[in-house]
Amino acid sequence: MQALIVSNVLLWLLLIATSLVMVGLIRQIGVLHSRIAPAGALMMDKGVEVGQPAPQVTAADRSGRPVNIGYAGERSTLLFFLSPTCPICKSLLPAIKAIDRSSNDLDVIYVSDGDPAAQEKLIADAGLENSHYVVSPEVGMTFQIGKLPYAALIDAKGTLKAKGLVNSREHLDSLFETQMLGSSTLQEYLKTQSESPRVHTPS
Amino acid sequence: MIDPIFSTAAALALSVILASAASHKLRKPHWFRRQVNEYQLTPPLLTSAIALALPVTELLAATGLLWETSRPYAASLALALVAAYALAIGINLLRGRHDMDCGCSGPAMRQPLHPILLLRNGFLGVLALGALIPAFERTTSVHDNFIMIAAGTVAILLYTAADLWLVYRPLLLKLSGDK
Repeated sequence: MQALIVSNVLLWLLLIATSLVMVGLIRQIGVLHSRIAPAGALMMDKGVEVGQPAPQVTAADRSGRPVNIGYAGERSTLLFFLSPTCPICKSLLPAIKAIDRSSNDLDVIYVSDGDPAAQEKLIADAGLENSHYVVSPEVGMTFQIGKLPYAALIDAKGTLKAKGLVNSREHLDSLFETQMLGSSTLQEYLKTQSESPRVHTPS
Repeated sequence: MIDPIFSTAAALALSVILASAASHKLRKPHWFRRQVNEYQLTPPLLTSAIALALPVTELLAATGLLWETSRPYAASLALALVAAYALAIGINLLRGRHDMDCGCSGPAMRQPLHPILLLRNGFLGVLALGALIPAFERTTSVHDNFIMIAAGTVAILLYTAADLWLVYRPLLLKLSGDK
């Protein structure tokens, strides 16, 4: 009798624990949903094609030093197009700074356009005093940037490796992912995967 | 006549669920007034009165369920409330208003009307019936009391899980483009 009572109490406790876990898991579905909910519409792409040599531009940074974009060099370059009037750009700045800090073979160049006073405030707020910060509409026009925040990745040989609208840290990371995989777009990657019979792709 | 374990466990669970529903409605009176209006069942003049009367009734039933002497009255009150809510949902479903907010899970979560909500109210009705049917007299041991509380807790947790599931289901369906 004693054993039955103990077993019964234990089973009830375990049932409560199981229900708690279930509530927790279902809550996580909601959290996950808010993470993957649609972020923005796709847009038509213009400008230089990925895989082609990037346009070569030289612009002056804040202190008047020339910054070369698109020339062959020792390091690859990440161009981040932003504007003081774009709130999503500001929310991405910590992620860009983290990428800048963590990689040795990458130069990050911030390309902006607009009112000088607003630029200074943005630089002070985000702590970008020591970064390459270019205020030049020409660079944006050369790369034909229509929407912000936009990022372009140029390798050491001066080839445009990846580019795209970046709304989140995941979008930014995907630029580096495309460079690593050697395919400029996800569609191209899937195509090469399905053409090679040795690699298994989930269908 | 049923065993007191069923009666007390059902009363406990229903009491907590009603109290939580009443607290949503009393803390966000503007939201609930709009919600009552949304259902388009009562004359606009009475909206404020109904928006106040419903949570107060829920609170009364929740408190009454806790004592054995007042339990049958409180359980009948709860049963009437649940039936009224089910009727309101049913009428609006018949009107074809599948997009309106149910207001079932508090102001933080929007949830469109769906027939499955009637099933949810059915579960609450079963709890109310369990508390309403008279229990036979027997001495309850410590173990009996433990089972009452444990069963009540599990019922509340399952209700919460099912409720969240119902809230998230339309969101996920929208993501996959099925609806």
